[in-house]
Amino acid sequence: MSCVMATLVYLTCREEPAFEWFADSLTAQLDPGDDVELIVVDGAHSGERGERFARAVAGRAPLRHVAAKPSPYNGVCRLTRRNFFAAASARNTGLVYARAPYVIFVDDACVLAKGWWRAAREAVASGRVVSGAYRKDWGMEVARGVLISSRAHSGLDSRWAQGDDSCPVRVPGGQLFGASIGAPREVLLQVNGFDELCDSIGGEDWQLGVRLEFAGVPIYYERRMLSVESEELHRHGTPFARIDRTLPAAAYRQRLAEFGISRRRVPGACDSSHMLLDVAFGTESAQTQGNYYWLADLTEATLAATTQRFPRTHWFDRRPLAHL
Amino acid sequence: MTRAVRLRRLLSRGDIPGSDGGIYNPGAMAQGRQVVLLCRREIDYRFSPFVHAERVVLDAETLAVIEHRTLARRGYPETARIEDFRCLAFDGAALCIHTLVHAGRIRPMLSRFDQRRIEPVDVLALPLREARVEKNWVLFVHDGALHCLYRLDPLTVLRREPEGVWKLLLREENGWGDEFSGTLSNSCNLIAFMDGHLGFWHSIVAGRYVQGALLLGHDLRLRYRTGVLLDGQQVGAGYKPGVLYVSALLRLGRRILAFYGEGDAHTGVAQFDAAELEAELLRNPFRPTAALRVRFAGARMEDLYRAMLALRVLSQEQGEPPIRLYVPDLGLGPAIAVFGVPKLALRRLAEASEFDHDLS
Repeated sequence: MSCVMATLVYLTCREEPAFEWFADSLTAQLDPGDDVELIVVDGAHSGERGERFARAVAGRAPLRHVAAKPSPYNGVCRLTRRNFFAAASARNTGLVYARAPYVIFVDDACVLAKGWWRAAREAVASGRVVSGAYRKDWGMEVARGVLISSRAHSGLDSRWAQGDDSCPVRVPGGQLFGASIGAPREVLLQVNGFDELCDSIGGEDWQLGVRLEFAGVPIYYERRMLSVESEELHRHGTPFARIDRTLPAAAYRQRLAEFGISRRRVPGACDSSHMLLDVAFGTESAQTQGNYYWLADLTEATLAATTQRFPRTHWFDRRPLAHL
Repeated sequence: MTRAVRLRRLLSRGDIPGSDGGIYNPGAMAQGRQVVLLCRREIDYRFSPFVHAERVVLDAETLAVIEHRTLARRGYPETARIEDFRCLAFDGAALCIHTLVHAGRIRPMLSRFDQRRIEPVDVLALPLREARVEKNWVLFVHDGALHCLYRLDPLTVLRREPEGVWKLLLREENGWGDEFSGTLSNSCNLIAFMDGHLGFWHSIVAGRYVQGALLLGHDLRLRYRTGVLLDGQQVGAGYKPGVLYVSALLRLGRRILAFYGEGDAHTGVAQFDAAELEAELLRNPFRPTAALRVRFAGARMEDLYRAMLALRVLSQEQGEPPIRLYVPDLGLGPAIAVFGVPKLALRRLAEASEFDHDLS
């Protein structure tokens, strides 16, 4: 039986994730009685990186450095020609490894602002599903986990004005954004985790929020859980590709009918990101539509076998993944 | 059975995208070196209209999944659920009898399917008075014609005439249902076996499904039936633990494959040795039990009260035989049950013309 209180899943695939910022800012906020484990899900997993991450944590919390699980769109097992954005698969990796009853996902290249963990701890204690705030800064100078200086705030969270500095605020599921997301592990397993239907496209965070809402789970925006992300690091290197292909209107309707949906719920372009919305709101289902596993049954030992059930074509337009 | 039956999970909930609500209760057909399953794929466990017919192709030798595809549905009401497909090949077509849930009714219908779509063929208008919920009708091919085994007790068999009309061939009380506290039901379409037709029966005992084999002879009468061969006690996983529901039989060489739904979530197969299954059937010949046919056509509760007291005495005097009470309205069931007459089953008055007793 696990005795840890919370698992923090740190997701990265960047050559330079500035993990030290995160490690220092988190551990500086922990109280002696806090029982957390860190899991780094790494899309660029290597022994060298593992040693670096271990040095950064320096024994201040239990750490596991794991490779992102096999994905049809990303990594060594991929079926596509190039790497695509596959955050749902990476996040679900964290859920497989997590041992605590509450899991918090944190994006990379960030420093946690003062008060982040205190608010997160409240979420853990209450079992609420929370979405933390974010800001994107230039020229961040961080010392011992504290943001010393930065230039112009270029990307303030669009939900900021909805938030409150004293308590979490209820928001629609579509506002569950991924800078940091906290939820009971069991709640996430019941809906089979993040939906890989979103991989190659994006939007796995808000799509989860919408599905949780259909499951009757309230979503909260927690402005006090602020993470400040580096614009430079976000723009450094080659980002994973995203595709948002379009179908003719008739073909789009036909594809939607194959999901059992007779009319569009979200007017707009006939592209895959709109279909994510149409499928979510058309079925009003809390479950995933793109996963090829039951997450609660996956273990570290069975992750490799999921490659046998990889889809061979893209769900949206049936294009062979080998052509992408 | 001398050897333990081998159970094997073929598909689990979630294995196929959009099957978080389960992929189960498969129909099955052999096609060359492949087995085609037609599974019920649920996107979640809400029993919404979002249920799909998933065609899954297996390698006949290894039973490994080769490919799968969702069949496009044509010609069904938009909000109708179609589920639990029992397949059979007939007249060069791939057919399936399945449940249609629509407008407050649940009843079987006949559809055809190919590699891409499924569409209705026949509403199965049987010359029988139907209840609001009808399930577990199964089909088989006998002497080149499509037949329907409607019920096991009374054994009720119909034949589809060339013009598409269903003709009642057989309706015989046999007392088998009295062996169960729950309902005795069909499970899957029958297949050719021995000199007749092999099927499976099921019932619910202490909240779990139990299944066994049966054989109709060439005269379409029950010849053999085994005891419990598969017990839902083995199913601890899924949305409904205790449910192991055989929905298809296939004979492949010396193997009899019984495909089943597991816990309303997964698809599995039980593999029997054909010779052993035959031996087990031969060890269990079916012997019908004659039931007392009792008529009651009273209109008032006072009549019912007196009749049931008399029936209880009659039952005791004759050593508690199976009794079939023919009544004008099956809605009297709950009132009649209060009297606790053992081995009593209700039948519609119109279903018989000769009786052993008349309590009216």
